[in-house]
Amino acid sequence: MSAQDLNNADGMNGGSGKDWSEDPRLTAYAFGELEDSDSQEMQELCATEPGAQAYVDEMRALGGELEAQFGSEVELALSGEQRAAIEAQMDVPAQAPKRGRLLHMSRYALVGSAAAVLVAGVFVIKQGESEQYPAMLNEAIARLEGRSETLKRSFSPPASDQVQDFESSSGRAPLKALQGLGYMGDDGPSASAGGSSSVAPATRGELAQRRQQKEQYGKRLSHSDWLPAGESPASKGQRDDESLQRLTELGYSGGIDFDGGVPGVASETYRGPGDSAPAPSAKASELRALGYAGGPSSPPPGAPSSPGSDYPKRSKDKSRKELKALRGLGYSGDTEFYDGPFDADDRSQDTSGETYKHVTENPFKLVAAEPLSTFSVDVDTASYANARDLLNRGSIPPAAAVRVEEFINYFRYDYGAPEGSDPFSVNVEVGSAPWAPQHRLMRVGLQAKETLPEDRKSSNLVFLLDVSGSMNSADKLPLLQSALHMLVQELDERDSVAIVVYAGASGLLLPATHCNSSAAIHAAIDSLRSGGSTNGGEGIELAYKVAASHFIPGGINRVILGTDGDFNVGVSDEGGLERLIAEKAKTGVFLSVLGFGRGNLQDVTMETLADKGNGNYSYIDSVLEARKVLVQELGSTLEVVAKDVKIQVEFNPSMVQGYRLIGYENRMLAAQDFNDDKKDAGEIGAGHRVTALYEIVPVGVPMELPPVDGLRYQTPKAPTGAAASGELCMVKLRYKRPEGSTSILIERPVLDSRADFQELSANTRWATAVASFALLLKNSSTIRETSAVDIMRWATESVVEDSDGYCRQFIYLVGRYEELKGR
Amino acid sequence: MTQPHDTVWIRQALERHERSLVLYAARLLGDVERARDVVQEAFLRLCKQERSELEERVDVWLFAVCRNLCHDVHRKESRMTDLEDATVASTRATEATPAEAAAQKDSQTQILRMISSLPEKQQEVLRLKFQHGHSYKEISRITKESVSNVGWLLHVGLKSLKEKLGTSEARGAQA
Repeated sequence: MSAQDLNNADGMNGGSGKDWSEDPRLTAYAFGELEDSDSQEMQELCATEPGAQAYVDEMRALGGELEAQFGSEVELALSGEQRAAIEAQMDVPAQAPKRGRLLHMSRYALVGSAAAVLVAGVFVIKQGESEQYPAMLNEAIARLEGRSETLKRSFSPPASDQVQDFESSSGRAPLKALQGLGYMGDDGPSASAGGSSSVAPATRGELAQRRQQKEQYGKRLSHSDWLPAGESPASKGQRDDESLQRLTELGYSGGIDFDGGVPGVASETYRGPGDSAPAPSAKASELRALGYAGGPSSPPPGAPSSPGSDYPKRSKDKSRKELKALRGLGYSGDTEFYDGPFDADDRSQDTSGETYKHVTENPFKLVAAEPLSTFSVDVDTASYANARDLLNRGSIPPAAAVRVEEFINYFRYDYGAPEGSDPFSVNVEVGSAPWAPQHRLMRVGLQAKETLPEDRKSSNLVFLLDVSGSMNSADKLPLLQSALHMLVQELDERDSVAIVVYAGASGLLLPATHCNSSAAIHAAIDSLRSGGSTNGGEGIELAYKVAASHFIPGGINRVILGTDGDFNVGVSDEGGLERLIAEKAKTGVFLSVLGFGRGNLQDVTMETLADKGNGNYSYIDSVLEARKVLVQELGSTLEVVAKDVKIQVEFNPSMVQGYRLIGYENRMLAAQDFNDDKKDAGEIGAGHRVTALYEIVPVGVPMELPPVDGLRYQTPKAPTGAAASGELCMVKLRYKRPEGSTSILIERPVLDSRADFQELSANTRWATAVASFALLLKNSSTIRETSAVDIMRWATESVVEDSDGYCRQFIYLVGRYEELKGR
Repeated sequence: MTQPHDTVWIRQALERHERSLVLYAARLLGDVERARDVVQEAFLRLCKQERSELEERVDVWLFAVCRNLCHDVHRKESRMTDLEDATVASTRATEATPAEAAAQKDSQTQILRMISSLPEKQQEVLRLKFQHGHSYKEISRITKESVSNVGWLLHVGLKSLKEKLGTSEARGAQA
């Protein structure tokens, strides 16, 4: 190529290339792609030909520009499942015939799984003018106990003519009261056809769809999200406001802050049993009289119950009618917002693949022999959520699935905020045990300080998600995805999220990503697909690796495992896994576990892992539970305010003959562990409440324990001077600050105020009711003759405020249990 | 789970090339989901390769396999109709998640739009060169074009880009 067009030097910009510029070798030269001889030739050309050199420079600049432009294109990774399939194939020696196509092929089929149905019915009471609650309560109890035929008849199907029937036979007010209180005629298909089916369901599919709209990403779910399909956000909002206002006028002051889909929603869509039936008529004032006064800030929400909307099909005759009476009694929900049991048919009761560990109840102990009772706190709540889900599905939870302390601690108590520098307050109360009036009941309550959202520490979260085939169910992966979307919406630029998935093998789906670019995180969550078998062990190692590489000193560093339970561990065995987790917890990376779904739940493993990992174990049975755990209690779930919290109670033998700790069986510690700072114990997160109940047998009351023979080599110890103080016991707590390694001791002597059960605070009575229900589920003999009705009464009488419906839900569940048991 | 055989190199390949392969395949197919499937398949095939039997660099091998697979997809679905670049862009946009689409849109600069008006082969070669950083020789292996043909395609492609840039500058930036 001899240089010909000298005058072409400036022509390049115009693009009118002349012959040397027609030579691709010059372009190749610009990018260093030529062989020696050609390269030399081009070099000479450039030396002699300014235009050629300019061309080369321009090409290089253009190439650089292209690299930059192309580099800015969004890169798209494989889905986690695809990666998992590849990684699975890696483990197959080369040339093996096996192919990883299965996952590959099945994916399209699975895409639709998110569309599976979750019905979230939302109901709201309307104004009415019914009578006082206590009368109704008594009536309901009387009926229940009397098994009144009238009642049964009157509670039969809720077609509107029968409602009339009822009204004439039993009087108008009770029915209205019942309806108003939340009894929505969950009696059978006709009810669901007439009423509930018209009620504000939001399907899971819609939720999933919603996520696909980008504008939703930045928004929190709000009650409007639970409105019927097809409503524009604007009208939703408006309706929210209207109905909220209406409720407020009604005196329902609760729940305004709660955006879990509770109160304000959809009053227009409510229909009583039979569309033509008059609006139900519980007055809010009546609710208040009942204790449902709802105030803006109380008991936490959860996945409340909504019998009306979706469980009607199962209801059957007799016991069902009793249940209604029960419900009238306590099931005073003005809103039914249980979004749980996906669809009725989906509620398989096959729990055969689930494993629970049988726990022997703590027995009564003699103070003379064992004056010290020592245990570790536990703030888990999974057992309650799991039992709720089972009950809603029509199964009575296996006794081993019930951990009393997790029932008790599911609820929010008001023990007063801590003062000074203490991370939690300690509050003790003593009164008579309702099932054994001669016995005393001692309630120990801790309340951790709250953390304002803006004070929350930066977090480094690594989600370790099970995407194995068994997760392909509406109540598993899609629910997990909803939960994650919610959580990510709560996070901000302080936080980073990474996602590791595991199935046949594991892979990093999303490298640690700051939450200000949450769109990428949401997209990654959406891309989750299930398929393959489970190998949790490798995944967990990877997750810890990611967490370690983004470790935030002094921040929240946590691996959050989401699974339906099968956790076939590559880390040799369960013991090895537990050791790994405990070891990582020491390095500051904690582990929380979110359990999902039915049929496969490895309750024990999951609880143990969270325990070893200094984290929490939650069972997510519904979107609302996900909200409770991941949104409303985000601070508690993530931010530890005190660790290794141990409680030791020393009973005074002059006052106390025997005692038993209710629950906490798998948290018991040896007495000497209390002062041993090397012994691990439970963590308390910001805002957490921990409640423990002791049943105490005072001196002089006959005890059923066989007496122990006197000792041959020792004489009983003499009481100290303090024993004469009249103190019942000394409650001692030890805790460490989150970054501390030395424990701090708190001591509280306890005096018995001689209170009756009825005189106790609502906190204690509620805890007692909940504990009793747990014990009832465990078929425990310790609560003697206590019946579901007793529990419902105690519960109903101790509701102080229930703006988010957890209390109503509990009461409902007790009734549900009674109903199921009667079948 | 311990691996009896060496999988580190596959893992590394996955780490390094997964994303650019998806991008490359997505361009060829105009469909992110299919692209992902193709890339998955390519890696699955890689898993069955003995490392010592690979004649070229892993990434070149992967790109070549992906390209073949893309063409298979085209054939199978008798979608061999030449993908007009507009189709590529629009299909992609709908297939991508909103987030991806948004980012996509932003980065859809003038120059990228111009590229998408080039003949498909030129685009592919330009991308292999400037997006994926392959040499002429590697591109030749991947595309089965001769090295000089690759050089020619690049040369022509770059020149017409330059021309277009020149004219658009002359006209004053056209959005």
